[in-house]
Amino acid sequence: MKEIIKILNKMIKDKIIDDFVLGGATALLYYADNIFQTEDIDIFISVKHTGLIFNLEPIYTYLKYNYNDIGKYGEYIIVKDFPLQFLLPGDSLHKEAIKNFKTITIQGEKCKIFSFEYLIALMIFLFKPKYRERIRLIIEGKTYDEKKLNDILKRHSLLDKFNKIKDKFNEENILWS
Amino acid sequence: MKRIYCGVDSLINRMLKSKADYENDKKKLSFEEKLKIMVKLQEKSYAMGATKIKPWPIK
Repeated sequence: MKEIIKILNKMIKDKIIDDFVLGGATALLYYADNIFQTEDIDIFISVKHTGLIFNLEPIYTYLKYNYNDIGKYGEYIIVKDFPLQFLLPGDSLHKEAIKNFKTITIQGEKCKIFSFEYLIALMIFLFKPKYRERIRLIIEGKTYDEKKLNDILKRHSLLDKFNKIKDKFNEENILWS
Repeated sequence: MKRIYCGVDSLINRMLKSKADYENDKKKLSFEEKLKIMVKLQEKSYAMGATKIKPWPIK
């Protein structure tokens, strides 16, 4: 993991990317009490580019040229056996999230991760099947800043969606108790 | 009716205590420790054939 952060920081120095913020389950692991399984590391990058489509090929070429053990598997670039998924923030919520990071130290290397409330907001926004259980456990854990989360959700018209999700969880709890 | 004590109460108490201990222990885990546990889960999934992605090389 330390190696990966080093490589990403080197990519900033070499001006391949402008910045990066870790998201997904890797970032979630830092905040939540529960352990969420993932197979890749989501890396949200900011780059200067024009046009609608951004090509990740220069990143792959750079890694292949500078490091050993570089491969591809589906949407992942495998770097030293870590599957990395490079993502560009496409919508306004992701763009806002990338600016609201927290700096942490992973195995002695400093790196940025999304703030907890933005991670939750992104899961509510995307609401993939695997996010359902994660959101439920996070709501139960109550370790997030509710005011901050509600503010983000309100600004991105997601508060109703979140309330509906919470209602559904409450209904299920009543059924099971 | 006379209640027959068969150790169930103490067993439940022990279970509840261990559940509380487990919750507390989970809260004390550092990010690195959580990563290691997650890698164990990845190893399990990989061994079961649930994924073709190799577990992360974190020991």
